[in-house]
Amino acid sequence: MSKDTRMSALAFALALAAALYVSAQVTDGFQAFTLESARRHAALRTPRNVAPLQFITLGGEQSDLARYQGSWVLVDFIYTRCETLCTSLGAVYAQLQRRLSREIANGQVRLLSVSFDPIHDGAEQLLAFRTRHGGSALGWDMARPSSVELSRWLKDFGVVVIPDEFGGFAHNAAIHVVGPDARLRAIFDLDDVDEVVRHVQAAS
Amino acid sequence: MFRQQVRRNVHHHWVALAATLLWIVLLLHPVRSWFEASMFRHMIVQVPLLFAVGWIWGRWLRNSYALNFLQRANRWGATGMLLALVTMTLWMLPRLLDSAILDSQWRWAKFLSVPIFAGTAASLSWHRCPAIARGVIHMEIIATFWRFGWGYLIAEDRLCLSYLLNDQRQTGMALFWIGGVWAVMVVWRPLFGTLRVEKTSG
Repeated sequence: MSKDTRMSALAFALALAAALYVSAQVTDGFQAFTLESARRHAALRTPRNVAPLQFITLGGEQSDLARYQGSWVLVDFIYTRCETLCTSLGAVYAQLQRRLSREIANGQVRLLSVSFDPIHDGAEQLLAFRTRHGGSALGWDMARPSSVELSRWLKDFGVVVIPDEFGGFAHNAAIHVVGPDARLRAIFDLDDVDEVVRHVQAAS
Repeated sequence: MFRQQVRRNVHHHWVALAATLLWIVLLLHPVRSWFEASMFRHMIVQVPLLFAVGWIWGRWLRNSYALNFLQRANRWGATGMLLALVTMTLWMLPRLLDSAILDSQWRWAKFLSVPIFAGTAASLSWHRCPAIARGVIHMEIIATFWRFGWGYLIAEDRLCLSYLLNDQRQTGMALFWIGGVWAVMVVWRPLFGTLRVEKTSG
């Protein structure tokens, strides 16, 4: 084998190793090929602190996430004009409100629905949304971040909102579980109500 | 003869400069946003354009003596083609497409890795590939287009957070077609080219 052939074989082997390494790194060990699965895995693996993000309550007061310190907060992102995913989210949250009523009464768990459509979603619309899905004010807060604060919310939680073809929005709807220590500990599918309940009850 | 050589070399410099200008234009925010607003334009136009920029850089570098050392480790172009294929395949993944839009570090990763590790690497390696290796590479490329095309076409959920389902399906369909056209182009000359030669000699 000539020297060039040997060098080429070595270079090829190195390139192959590098390619495998890089591919494994950018896919979390060939597990996460989409950004959504990546962020869910990341939340489970390394729960990050969530900043005290600000919002306006239904009552019109300024508030922020720090008020929930010490409780589990289940955060979801909605817009009230939505006719698809968000209606499921509304129904799911009403369900969670019932199934976790004991934990809510103890102050261990709170539900927080955040609107990412500040233009259309005022207090009235958000209240109507909650009522429409059979929810009550008990432990289920509705949040309206300002337009400026909204981008921080979306970035910190890893939520991406894009306009859809029907004048609404498409977004990666999910239930975000923030622990009592203000860390984003898990992200669940809307359908995974049982998982969410189990996760919260096991830890409380 | 010498004057022709010099003219050819100068020509190379202009083409390489044009390619670099294209690269800069693609980086500019309005241009980049336009390309990245659609999955089709992002994956099937912008990324291949970046590849083309790198390919032209590679042609320009082929005249450089400094590269002789590198090419000693690139017998038959194997190493270069491996880097190129892996790089292009990675940039077809939904996660990387999203990251390139949402994260500036990933944006730079795309704008540097595609021209350099794919375009330039392929440009310096393809002409060194023996025919059989080229055949294998063509097969891999076609298979990759069909695999990704199929995946994007039949997926029920949005795989990219930045794109709608429609966009995703159209892109999958386009990848499928591209794979088909590539397959036809690969077999065209071996199958039909020889017939033409027979006609002129008979």
